[in-house]
Amino acid sequence: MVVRVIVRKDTYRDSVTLMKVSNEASKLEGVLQAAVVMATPTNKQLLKDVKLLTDEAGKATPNDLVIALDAKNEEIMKSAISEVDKLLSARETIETEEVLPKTLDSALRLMPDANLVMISVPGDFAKREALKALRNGLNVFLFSSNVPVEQELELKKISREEGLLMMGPDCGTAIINNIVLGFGNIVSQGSVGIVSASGTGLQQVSTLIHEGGLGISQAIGTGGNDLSGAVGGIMMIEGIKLLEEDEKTQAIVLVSKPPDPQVSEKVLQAASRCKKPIVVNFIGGKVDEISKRGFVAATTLEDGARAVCDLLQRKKTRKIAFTIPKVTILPVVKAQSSKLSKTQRYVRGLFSGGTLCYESLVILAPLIGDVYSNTPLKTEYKLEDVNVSKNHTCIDMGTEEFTVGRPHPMIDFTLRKRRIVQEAKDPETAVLLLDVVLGYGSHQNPVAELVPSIVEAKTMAEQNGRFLSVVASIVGTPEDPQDLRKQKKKLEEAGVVIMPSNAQATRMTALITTRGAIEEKLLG
Amino acid sequence: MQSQPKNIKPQTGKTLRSNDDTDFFCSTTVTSSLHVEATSVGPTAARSLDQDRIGQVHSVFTRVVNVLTSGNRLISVVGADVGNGPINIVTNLPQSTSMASIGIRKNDEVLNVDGSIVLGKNVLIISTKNAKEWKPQRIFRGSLLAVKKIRDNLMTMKEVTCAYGRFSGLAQLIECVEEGRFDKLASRELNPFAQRALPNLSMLMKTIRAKNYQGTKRKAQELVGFGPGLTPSADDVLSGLMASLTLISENLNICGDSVSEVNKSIISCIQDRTTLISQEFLMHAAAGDANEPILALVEKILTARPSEVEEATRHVLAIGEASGTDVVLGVFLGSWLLLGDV
Repeated sequence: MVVRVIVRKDTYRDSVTLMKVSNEASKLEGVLQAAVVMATPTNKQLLKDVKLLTDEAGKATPNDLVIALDAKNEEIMKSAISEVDKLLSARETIETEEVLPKTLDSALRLMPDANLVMISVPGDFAKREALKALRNGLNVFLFSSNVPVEQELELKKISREEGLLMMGPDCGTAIINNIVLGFGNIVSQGSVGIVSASGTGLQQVSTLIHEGGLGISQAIGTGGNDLSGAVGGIMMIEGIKLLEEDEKTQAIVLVSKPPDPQVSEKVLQAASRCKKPIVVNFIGGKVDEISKRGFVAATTLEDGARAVCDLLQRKKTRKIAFTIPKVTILPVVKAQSSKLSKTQRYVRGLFSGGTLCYESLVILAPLIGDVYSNTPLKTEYKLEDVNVSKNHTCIDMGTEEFTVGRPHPMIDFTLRKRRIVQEAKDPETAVLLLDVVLGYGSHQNPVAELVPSIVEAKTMAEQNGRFLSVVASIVGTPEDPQDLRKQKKKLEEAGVVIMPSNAQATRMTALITTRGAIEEKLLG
Repeated sequence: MQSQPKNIKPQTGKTLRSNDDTDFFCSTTVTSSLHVEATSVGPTAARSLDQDRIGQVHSVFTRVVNVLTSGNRLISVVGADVGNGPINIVTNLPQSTSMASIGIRKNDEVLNVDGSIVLGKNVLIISTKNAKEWKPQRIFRGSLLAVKKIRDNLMTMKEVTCAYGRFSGLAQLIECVEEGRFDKLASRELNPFAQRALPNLSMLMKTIRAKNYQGTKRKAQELVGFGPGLTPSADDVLSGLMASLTLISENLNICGDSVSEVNKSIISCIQDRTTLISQEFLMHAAAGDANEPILALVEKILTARPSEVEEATRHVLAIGEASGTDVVLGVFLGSWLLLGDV
């Protein structure tokens, strides 16, 4: 252990700098303690108590700045000091260039031409901030959750009157004029407009459209509650109208879990009035009812993306289970399933995206039977204990049970990593099904988080005479900060079967778990 | 504003040179004097402008330049977004311009020339011609609320703070305060500063209630200068505490003598125990002088609806990195101390 205390005579940095440097220094590898404080007697006493007070620091006056570091060894200390110096000088540069507003009013003074505000405050205060924004003529992206439905309705009615967007509450993703708001991916600008009540749904559809060679004009998030009976689909209906007026938009995709029946009717009526072609992607919804009204109906996110690409590229849409040829799929299924032991019978899906989990439940049910979940399709398949899987299980790890007091699983992988290992201990687990969501807002290197746990899980299964098959899909693009290609390569190196979409990964999982028994049903 | 006439010729196209004595701006680029107007001047700052040599630059931040006056007090030249305060000279410097980037350096002379405040060698020239003297409204105009409603307002302030505050210092302790006493457990782990300050702050409250002024002084000594920040976190709490005690006492016309004793006890131990900037704030707070957002918060607590208290709390929380949140804790404690006696 090495202690070093640096005193900077008569040095003043504002509190923002002092606290940032203190926090960032504490996080440095090998630094056991770090304190950056003014050398007042009470602060010196604190340093003394934690054995960070040197003679020089003892002589410092309240107007001197003290940087106290405790590191594992001399080498770490040297790099820590240089890092602190860098942080202090970096903050100086920032201080001279950056003025960050702390309220909506001051932000508007700084940027009077702004026309959209992104709000992320605790739910109790969200209405007030959103209302203020709407009254100022601003479109709103409201990330906050736990906003009462009556407040959501009030805000959306006002936004409709004012001709403004009210995206959310609980809106995770949007792409407006090629700017990603919240969680989202870098996709090409193009001619497809999206209105989505699902965050990861929007991400999956937009990335697959990008992959299909087209781009996004606008992607409007509505918040997950918009198509409930209480809210009545206000923002989805307004979104359709806006995209109809938008010159760049040539076709529209609507994305949601199946809406409330009456709301579905209202939305479809509004869509009927739109002159642009519309793909309705109510995942697992009633395709016939949608088709007979003249819309293209899609049951999975991938189908929705492909349908709109085919529509604009004037291709005929074919319903296919896999985009990869059968001759490639079957050897993979054989290679994976032949190593499974007799006890291994069940799928265990661990998802960070709620809509991806829902989509997998919808796809799996007709292929392998009903699936237990914390968000099941039928109430009788609700898990009694979300921490313990039962038979076939898919878990949405973004629900409240898993996120109270910790970040969303797209950012914090702690619980998912633990659960991966837990599922590997279960002799009945045949296939682990995972999603990996890239883009802004998500973890900067999700695969680096997941791979060690996947390797540990596979090794553990092997030591117990089993083989654990792991199948995953990645929602992202090569242009995302995490780079889809790099993430894919690392997962493949860890023995994970990577499929081009969540729908295909789910079908692959079903094929492996059933040892190919559903091949006929799926591949004809 | 009063000033001694003196002719100056603002330079243009002058060269700024680096100064070894300062951490701040170093440049050899050619630049001009920056002319701005003072829009308002606080009472303490106004008193310092009577002399030709006002003082010298003490420290430079993004939106604040502190000036050490010839009388060894601090006054501040600030941007409009910082707002009115007893020691503030508020200017119309654009919000996008950082004071740290215009070439003002530590130890630069600050002069009063022809009714203008001149910093450095004509680097920043502030005309005070149209400046108004800001007079803090310490006796509130609105009708005072019933005690129950004032308590409701305090709970609103606490709720808003828990939601929006920044808790790197002592303010985490606001969660543990019930009816003005440290009775509750925090729902999260306390940071080391809050953890260490809790017994001292709790004892400080007890000594104030017991009118044990010697005890108050002893406990204040344990707190002054303690914690993170340029104005250490505990000082911000004490500022909020003293300012709210004085303002509430004056407006409700209660406990004037004991409030004065409490503030004297605290203020008697600040010299050499905290930074110069913090000492200045503490001295003003002890006299009931605070920056406009803090005055407004106490006023709203005593006279307004919860929604206005919420707004006023947000303004105080926006002060500094975590200073505003620490000040709110002090206001909360001071308010409960006096309401217990009503």
